Amino acid sequence: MIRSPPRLVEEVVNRYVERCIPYAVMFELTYECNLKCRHCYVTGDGGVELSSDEIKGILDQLAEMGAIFLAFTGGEIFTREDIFEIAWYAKRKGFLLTFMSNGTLITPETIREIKKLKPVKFEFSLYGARAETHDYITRVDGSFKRTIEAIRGLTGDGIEVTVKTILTNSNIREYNEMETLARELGIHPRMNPGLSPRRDGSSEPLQYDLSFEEMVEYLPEDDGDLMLGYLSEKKTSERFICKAGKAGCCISPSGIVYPCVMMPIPVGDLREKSFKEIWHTNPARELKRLRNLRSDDLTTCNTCDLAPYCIRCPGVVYLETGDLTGASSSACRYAEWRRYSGDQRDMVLQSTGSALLGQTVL
Amino acid sequence: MVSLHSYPARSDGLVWRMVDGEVVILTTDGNEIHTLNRVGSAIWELSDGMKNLEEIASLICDRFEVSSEESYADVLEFAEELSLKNILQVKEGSSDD
Repeated sequence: MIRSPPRLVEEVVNRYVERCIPYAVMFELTYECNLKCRHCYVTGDGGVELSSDEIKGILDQLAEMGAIFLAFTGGEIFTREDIFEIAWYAKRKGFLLTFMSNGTLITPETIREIKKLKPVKFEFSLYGARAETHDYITRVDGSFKRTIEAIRGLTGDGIEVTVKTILTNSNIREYNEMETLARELGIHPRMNPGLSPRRDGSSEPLQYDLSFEEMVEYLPEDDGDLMLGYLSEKKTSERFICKAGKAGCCISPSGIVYPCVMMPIPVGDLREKSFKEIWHTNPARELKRLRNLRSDDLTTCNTCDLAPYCIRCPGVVYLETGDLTGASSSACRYAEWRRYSGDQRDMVLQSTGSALLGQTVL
Repeated sequence: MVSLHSYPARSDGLVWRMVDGEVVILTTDGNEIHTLNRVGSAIWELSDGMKNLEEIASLICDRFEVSSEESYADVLEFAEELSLKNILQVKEGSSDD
């Protein structure tokens, strides 16, 4: 009557995917932000922000549909005065909450409230190990200090605190220092190159992207190894198609539903239709197309030499090319680095092996 | 000791959702997950601390067209198994008492 086997999470997620039930929802509560990060992909859609009551109504619908994981993101979520009213409502509705924030508006009082609320995860954006680097990227003096204070205030109280760092040509030289800082703060760092064009198509953020040479010089080889381990576990065909539009979706501050935070393809307006209508009863043509997309539909990626090294995000592909089936230049460059880093390691192993063999013969 | 006179209630601190007639239960840290089959899901929904297992068995009997013996056995097994996992609290009186 009850099942709890170890791989049940995967099984349940697959069931959500097959039945197109939103397992994880990213709710963008606002596009307002007090920082002006150089690489930020977010652009407003000109809509009027949902009120607290409208958001609560949507949360009711999401819970009814079966959604479990709910992430509040933005913009900066703490620019909304009703953030805790919304978060407590979501908590009572039985969502497992994640907060995504730059941390700069968090006060001691806010920290006390977050600890009472106990989200499953709190993700901070941090862009350097030094104030001058982080503040250069955010374009706000003092932002590094405030973010670090917030991280220190929230760690060690049963909440999983993560720091997310987009690696750019402005901060890559601090890779090792950032790891040290994360260790000192007692948190888990997630650092990766992941720049994409803005949602409005502007390629401005890409000027901060890492070159292949910078990847070779600064990214640790074991990062490539870890990724290769992950990549070898899944078939290419499984890796190239994601859960967006099936078990995952994004809701904008004005109630527009998107398949994913990285896919600005509007599939419905929650001020006009219910979530169930948008997602199940009468899905938009674009949503149906995304759900029917198979790896065989991809134009170049399936036959590419770099496929075994590639993590292809359909959202980034869409932002880069305006199409879901093509190749992503940033993913290609990263895959090239993984192949290169793997080859280098193999060469070292071969030469070490030969040396050992030579010693044995002698 | 679970008996037909016990009152089962879903434990606090759990997240659960009904997905296509089957219940998915997660612990609030998201680290532990359980699923219930259709009969288990129906018993779960009825486990509100206000009905005892005998009453729940009777409702299950009607809904799934099974014999009384079968439904008694099902609810007792359910309550024992889930209370051992601390997913269900089983009390001798109703939550109203």
